[in-house]
Amino acid sequence: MPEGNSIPPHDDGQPEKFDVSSLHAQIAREKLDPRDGFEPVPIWLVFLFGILVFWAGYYFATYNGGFKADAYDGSPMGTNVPATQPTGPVDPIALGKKLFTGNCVSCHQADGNGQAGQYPPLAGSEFVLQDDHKPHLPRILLLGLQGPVKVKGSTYNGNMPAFGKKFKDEQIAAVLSYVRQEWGNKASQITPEEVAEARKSVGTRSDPWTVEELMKIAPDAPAKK
Amino acid sequence: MSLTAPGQHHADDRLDPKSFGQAQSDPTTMSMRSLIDESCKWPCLVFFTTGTAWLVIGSLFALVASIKLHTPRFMSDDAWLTFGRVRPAHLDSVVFGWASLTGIGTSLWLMCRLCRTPLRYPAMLVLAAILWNVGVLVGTIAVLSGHSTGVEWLEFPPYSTFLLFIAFGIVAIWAMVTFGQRQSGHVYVSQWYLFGALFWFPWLYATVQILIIGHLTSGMGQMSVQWWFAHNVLGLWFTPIGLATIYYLVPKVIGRPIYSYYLSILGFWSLALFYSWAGSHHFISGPAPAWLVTASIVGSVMMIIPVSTVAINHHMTVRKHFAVMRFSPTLRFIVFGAMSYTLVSVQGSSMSLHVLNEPTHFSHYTIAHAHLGLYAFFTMTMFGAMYYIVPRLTGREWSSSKLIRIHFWFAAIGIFMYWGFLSLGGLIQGFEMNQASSPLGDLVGKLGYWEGVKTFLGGFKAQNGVVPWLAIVKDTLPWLLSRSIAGTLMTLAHLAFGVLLLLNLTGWGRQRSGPTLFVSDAKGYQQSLTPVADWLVPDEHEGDAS
Amino acid sequence: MNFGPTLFLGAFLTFAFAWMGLVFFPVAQLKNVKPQTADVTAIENPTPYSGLEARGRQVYIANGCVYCHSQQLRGGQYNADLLRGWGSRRSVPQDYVNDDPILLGTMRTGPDLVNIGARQPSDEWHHKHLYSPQAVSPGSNMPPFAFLYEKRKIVGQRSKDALNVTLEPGYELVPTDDAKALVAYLKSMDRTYDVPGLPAN
Repeated sequence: MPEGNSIPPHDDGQPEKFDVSSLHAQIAREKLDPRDGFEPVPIWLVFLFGILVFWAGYYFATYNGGFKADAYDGSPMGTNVPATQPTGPVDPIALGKKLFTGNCVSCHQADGNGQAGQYPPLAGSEFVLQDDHKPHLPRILLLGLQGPVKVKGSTYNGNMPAFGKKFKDEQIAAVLSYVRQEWGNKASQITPEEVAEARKSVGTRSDPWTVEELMKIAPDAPAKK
Repeated sequence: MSLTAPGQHHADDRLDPKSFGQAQSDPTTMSMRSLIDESCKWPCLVFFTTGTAWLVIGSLFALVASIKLHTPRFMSDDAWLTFGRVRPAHLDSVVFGWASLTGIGTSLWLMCRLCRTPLRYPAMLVLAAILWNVGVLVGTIAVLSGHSTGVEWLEFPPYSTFLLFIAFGIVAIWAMVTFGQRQSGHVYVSQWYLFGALFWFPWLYATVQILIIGHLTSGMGQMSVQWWFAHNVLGLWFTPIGLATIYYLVPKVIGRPIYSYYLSILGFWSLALFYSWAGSHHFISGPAPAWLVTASIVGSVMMIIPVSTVAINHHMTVRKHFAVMRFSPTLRFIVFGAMSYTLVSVQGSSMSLHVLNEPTHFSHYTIAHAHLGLYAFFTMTMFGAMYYIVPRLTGREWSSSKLIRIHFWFAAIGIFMYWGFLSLGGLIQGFEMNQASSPLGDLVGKLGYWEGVKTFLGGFKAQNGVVPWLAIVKDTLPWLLSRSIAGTLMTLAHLAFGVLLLLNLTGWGRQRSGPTLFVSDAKGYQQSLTPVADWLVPDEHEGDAS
Repeated sequence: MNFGPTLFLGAFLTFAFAWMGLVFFPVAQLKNVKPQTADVTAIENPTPYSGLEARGRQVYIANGCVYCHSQQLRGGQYNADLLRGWGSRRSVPQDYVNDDPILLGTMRTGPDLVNIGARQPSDEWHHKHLYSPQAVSPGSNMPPFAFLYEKRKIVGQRSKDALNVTLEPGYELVPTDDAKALVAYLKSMDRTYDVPGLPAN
């Protein structure tokens, strides 16, 4: 048994002497090293764990999507079917509103007022409402618009991008119909057939329109550029 | 007063009723502790000091990033300081700089004390510290200069991470060797956690470096690996170190045993089993197979088991001794950390359920949650550890009780403000983002309170059924500003701590004898540690020798 | 628990168990996801990034765009993202087969970008927005990326790359190569194609 004031030998077999005065005060006041008590696990905790394990089993069994790679998370029962399916014919105004919000508000704004000096307004715009501009609307969406355009007394000189490749005729018709009846606008809907006709007459052209070019297209002009 | 024969092992570590609240200082133990502390001095101090330096640097990055979110033109001319670079620089410097360095420093000292063997090969560990610091420095500069890898939590390019890996390898091997040479028969719970952390982290880091940085995965498979890694940095690296620290320091400062060995076992193994499954909760409702996300939701919720186990264990140990917190900086920081651990874990389990995930995912609420974990739990615990350990390494007490008070209160109020206000801002943001489809909103609405909640939260300015994005941004601005204010408080706290550390290392401050307490009332401190018959109920097992 | 081997074995097995579940099996299962052709006009969905777009992706990474912008749309019963008009279907693993590293993102300080190329096909808009987000989206807290643009004196004719903004007379604003690459990448972010098995909303 080692002496009281030397520490047990280490692997190298050399017992080391120490000097009490070199001990830090912090060590002198330290308590016992941490040790374990042996209280039992509370029984209510065991019940809680049992309930959790049961829940875990149920939850995993329900939402594992059959371990399939294409059963995605977030759908009910881990399937890839959305909870609500669209039923019946789609309301063009509702569809148009959705498309507008997703594609047009960044420039034309949600209130249809555009941005002064940058993007023309759609609310009360003569391009949107007047009959002589009606054939221009599908064309603008199909190919875009560039160069100066005067709307409600102000001139805008930007670049509207084309949406013809991105949207089908029904979608273009829907968004135009929406714009023509929102924010106090009151004008008739545009049909997918009108858009299809415009698309056909535009043919292979890919450059954006200028206002001068558009104005050459008469209100009831058939398939002629 | 010596309670055991000189030289007798404390191997059994069983409850000794005669030892309540009294200093245990038989010469053998004291001399062993002295030797251990002496041997730990240089490696631990290097880790602690460099860690604290990274804390200050990381706090400055954090402040800049926070201000940019409500004042976007703040320092916006320089590419190096753009938000998208400063923000990951902050994350990496506090995670791999501050938190990991002080975590390792604490682990070294804990391992040595618990294994009752002095630290061997200190030069190797100092080398590891230097390599680690170089790695973090090079990595941080890389991120700021635009060479991030683009993987969250792994932004450091490979030429810096291999330094971290070597450094870590040295530490891990040292830990295995030290553990193998332990003098104590019984392996205390803190050692299990430390062993776990030091074993798991290299596997984690190696896997992710090979698979992701080595470009062996892409797409969603990579996403799963990435978040398995990032979440396990929290769960299998920081949490075990934090818990090991709490498990050691709480009974140590108070002088009482941990409440239940059985709860310790249950807590450790359930953590090991469940925590590492939680990673995929970072992309709930994302483009992932349902089974993968469901497994993580289950893992996240099952964490209630280890968390409540540990909470009970810690609480029942401190119970009747909360008065010590009035005096002891160590205990106050540690208990703050322990309580925050319970809170952040329960919050995390709740956030993984779809109904609460939908409004909080992608919002500032998640950021507040992250800081509750890494700061309120881990950082505060590390502060507590350093307050205990550093005087033992340098032989000098902390020189200013006032600075300690500033440190604690600024940090505590700061993180409380941070978490509280940013969570509220995040909830507002989240509900407005998801206003069009909100099962939670429907649920609250059924209770009849949804309109009231909406009005309280500022009213949702929906147009066409959705709240415009810029309106959401506007609504978050006051909360982002409050986060900057909270962050300023926290940074000041860190500066106070940095000053304290500097004064302790150099000896320039006032020299004290006796512990530096929050409140100088030595008698009150002693009283708080000793059970007093008329205001404490004796334990049922007092006097029981089993 | 006194035995090192018990501790080691337990730590190893629990970790390996989760490693199998979150690393091995997901990577194995998702490795087989390939680009597909649902639409007869397209060759591959998604199309691989062109050189310029890939470079733009690196600019996106270098400037940390992922820390404010996500690139994923949720679906099923949590389809607020779709109702907001960010896309017509939820995101699926196929959308990310060309993405290394994947930039799914976990934060939306700004809007989701997975279909930004579809929502915003205008180069001009992107450049103006990157140069000064506040000018294009008032109240935005996105940082300005003016350092990606060069303000220079007009020598002879205006550059055809010059942005359509008003500076002081005699000066024009020209995007750097990084800015052009970034905008090319952003415009390539269009995952609106149909996916077989997922009904289009």
